Amino acid sequence: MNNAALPPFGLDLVIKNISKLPSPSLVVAELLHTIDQDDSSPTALAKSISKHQSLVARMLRMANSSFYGMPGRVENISDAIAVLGWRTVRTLAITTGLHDGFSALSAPGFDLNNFWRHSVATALGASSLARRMTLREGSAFVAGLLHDVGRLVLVSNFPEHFAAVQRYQTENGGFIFEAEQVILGMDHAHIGRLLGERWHFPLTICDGIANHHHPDAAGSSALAGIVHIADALAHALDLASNPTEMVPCISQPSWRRADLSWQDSQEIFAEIEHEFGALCSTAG
Amino acid sequence: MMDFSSEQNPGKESDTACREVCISPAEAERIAERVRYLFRLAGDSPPARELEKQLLAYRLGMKSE
Repeated sequence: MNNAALPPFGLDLVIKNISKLPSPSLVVAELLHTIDQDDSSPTALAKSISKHQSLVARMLRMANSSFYGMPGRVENISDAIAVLGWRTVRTLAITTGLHDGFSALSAPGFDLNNFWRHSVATALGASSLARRMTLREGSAFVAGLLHDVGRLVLVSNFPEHFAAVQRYQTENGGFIFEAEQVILGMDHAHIGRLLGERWHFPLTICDGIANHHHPDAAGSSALAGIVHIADALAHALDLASNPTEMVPCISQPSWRRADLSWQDSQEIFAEIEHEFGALCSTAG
Repeated sequence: MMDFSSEQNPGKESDTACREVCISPAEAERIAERVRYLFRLAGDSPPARELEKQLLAYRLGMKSE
């Protein structure tokens, strides 16, 4: 199929389709709005989580997996939170919320597992960078986890356009966001921001998603720069099991702001790889 | 091809020894080739070159610059 045969596409249609998606659950909304708050009193959130059946099931299954060394012994949400830790709970809640929100997340050329592997690696990198830059670690983690969420909108709601973008990239090379610009006139970062706004993500998260390929754009926040560098680190670490993986161009101002010494970078690589396995099983 | 010499990474004698012990030349070359491939479109900017060098060092088990 050539691009002329594609169904119509444009900003209005994207917004219309996003508007039809169910809003994320209360748990996800609460998690997103409390990401940088003290997690020492998890009772209220545990109560919200307990109302979300698929999340409860996933949490208990994971907490009782042999990985955490307590198979068959975790019986309630509070214990599961204690076993899993808040970072894992957030990842579980957000990914469960997104999976529930989209009707179909499969398309030729799209691998959901690889998608989450890259997203988790980016989240861990963003979190690590934010800690070194004394910025909000929780926001950075979530922005990293959600930075490519616009791709899920394309896969789920515009599979023919997604296929056309894949085809263009295969034939012409370059990065996926460049192919999206050519075929769709907008990229997944823009679509991700639209989804974030519709789902009432915090503004900093929306900006981190929107500008992760263009962190030097006017009005862009420090978080966008962090997600941009974390995205490059994640691609460089080659954790997504993608044979055609490629590291994007890196913004010099963002790189300079991150100010990574040799020691920093080696530590961040190790941190990402250390935490990656456990969190990936969470997201898949 | 990436230059692994001590001139590029001064003070690397012990790391060179580690590489010789831990990673075979063939494996080191395979790693270097994958890293070059990963950075094939990252451009020739200082951040891309620096990150590539840092990643290669990490993959080859070098401890510090």
